[in-house]
Amino acid sequence: MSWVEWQGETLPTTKDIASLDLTVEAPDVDGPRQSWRFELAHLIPNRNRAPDDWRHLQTLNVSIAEMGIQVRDWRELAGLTIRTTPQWLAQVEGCGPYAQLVDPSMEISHCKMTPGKREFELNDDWMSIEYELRFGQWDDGCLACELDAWAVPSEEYHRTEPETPEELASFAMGPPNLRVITRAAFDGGRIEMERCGDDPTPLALQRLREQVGEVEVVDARVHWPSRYANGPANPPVKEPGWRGKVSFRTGW
Amino acid sequence: MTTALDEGERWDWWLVVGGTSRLLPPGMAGLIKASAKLMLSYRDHHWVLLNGPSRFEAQIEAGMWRPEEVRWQLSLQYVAGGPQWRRVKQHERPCVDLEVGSFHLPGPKWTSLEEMNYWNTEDEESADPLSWMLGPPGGGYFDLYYRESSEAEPVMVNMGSCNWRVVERVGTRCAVELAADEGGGRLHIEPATDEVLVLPDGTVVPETEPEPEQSWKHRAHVYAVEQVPFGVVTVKVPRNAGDAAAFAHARVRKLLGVTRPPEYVTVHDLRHSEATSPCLGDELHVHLHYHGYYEDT
Repeated sequence: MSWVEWQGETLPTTKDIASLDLTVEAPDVDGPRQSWRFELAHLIPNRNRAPDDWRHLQTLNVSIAEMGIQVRDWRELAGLTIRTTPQWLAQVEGCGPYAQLVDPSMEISHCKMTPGKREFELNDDWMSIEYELRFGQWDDGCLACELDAWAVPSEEYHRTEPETPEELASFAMGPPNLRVITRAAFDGGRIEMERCGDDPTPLALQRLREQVGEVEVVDARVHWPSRYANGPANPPVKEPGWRGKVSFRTGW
Repeated sequence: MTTALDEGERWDWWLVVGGTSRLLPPGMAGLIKASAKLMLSYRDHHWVLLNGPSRFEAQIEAGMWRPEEVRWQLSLQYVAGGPQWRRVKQHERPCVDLEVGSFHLPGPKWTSLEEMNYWNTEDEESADPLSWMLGPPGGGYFDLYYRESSEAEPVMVNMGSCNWRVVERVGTRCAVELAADEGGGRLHIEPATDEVLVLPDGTVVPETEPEPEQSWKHRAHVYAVEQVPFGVVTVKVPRNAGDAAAFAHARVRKLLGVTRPPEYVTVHDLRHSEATSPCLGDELHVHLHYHGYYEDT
């Protein structure tokens, strides 16, 4: 179930649930070991559509690419509240392994389609770095969750000058313009691996257990990236045994 | 001391679980205070080290046949941090790059990085007006690049030499301390004194310890203490080599004593990408990545 109130308007309730996706970084690189992603696609179906018409009348996607949290067990997500105050941002500040800063900002994309026409009535992108994400208890593999966000249009979001102490102090003023009540499932992710032989899966799953406890994995696949090369004499090489990643799906 | 790049030995992983601590890891405290905070003190910003491009690198040219000829470089790259920058894109924030380039190791293996010590040593080269003819000073050339914003004119300072040392090496990571003055040349860094306030009745007033960034402000224009990995070796490989990556690895094994295969290899054929005409000195550039994989393209 997904309930959304956006800009004061309550959208039709859907059966969508949010997904929690985990990346475990390889241990030979620096930075946080875990990177959690939150993603909700609230999709309002077009029930009376013609075969070539829009499948959805309206979509609202909420994405936090990097939640900035580290947990010892995935069950610890229950009861967790992320309130992105300046103090919290200072605590989670850091740099990932590939020179990208930990950025827990939220992206919101809202689309309204015009039925019968291949055009958008509305296509807006918003961003927020002031939100509160509250997780409840685990229930049947899903986590109850609520979200309040104070978002601004994406073209107004980015600045070139730092904010003043007064601007930082005015955190989450007024009512939120995005409110969500939904459920979230930890449904998979990937484990980045250093060179560790032709089948890194057993070690990857052991790393996953060490990082977030026992997880019911129903599917795990190895991906070998191409070794970069250019020039006709040096074709890209894609071979087992090098650095790779193992993606996994959980049983939920 | 473990040489984690030797075959058959495990890497010394830092299993940092449950946080993004920026303290020097246990076992890498050496001469630096055990609770030392990894940080950069420069101007008035709070800096965040960029992982990936911050690393030790080595360059092996075609004509290098002895380990002491291999050229090394230490790079530290930072971007301004703190909640006040939360809505400013990373590439538009103030940034500073520190680079110690063109230094050579004292020993035949890469592990002799741990012997690098140019802290409070005499800077004889800078006193000689013809020093530039003698090649790089012992500790390498120190360069600083600073940019206040994406639109501001960058400040590039060639400071000549600087104070820097590897305090300790654990596995493939070195605890590095660096201090420099904008005037150039090496500084003589006095150790910090613990001043104690005693009242007339003999009561000792406990003093709140200043943040390390602040305490260094009046001692050096630039001060950094970081944990830096051995990252990349670039080998120039003759175009007619049968297997460029194998050739490069053999060179690294011979000149740096690294026997463990790299994590990632990239082969750059500049002739192909730049459409230049062939010439005799036209080699392939092979990058062997020993610390994860990051390539600034």
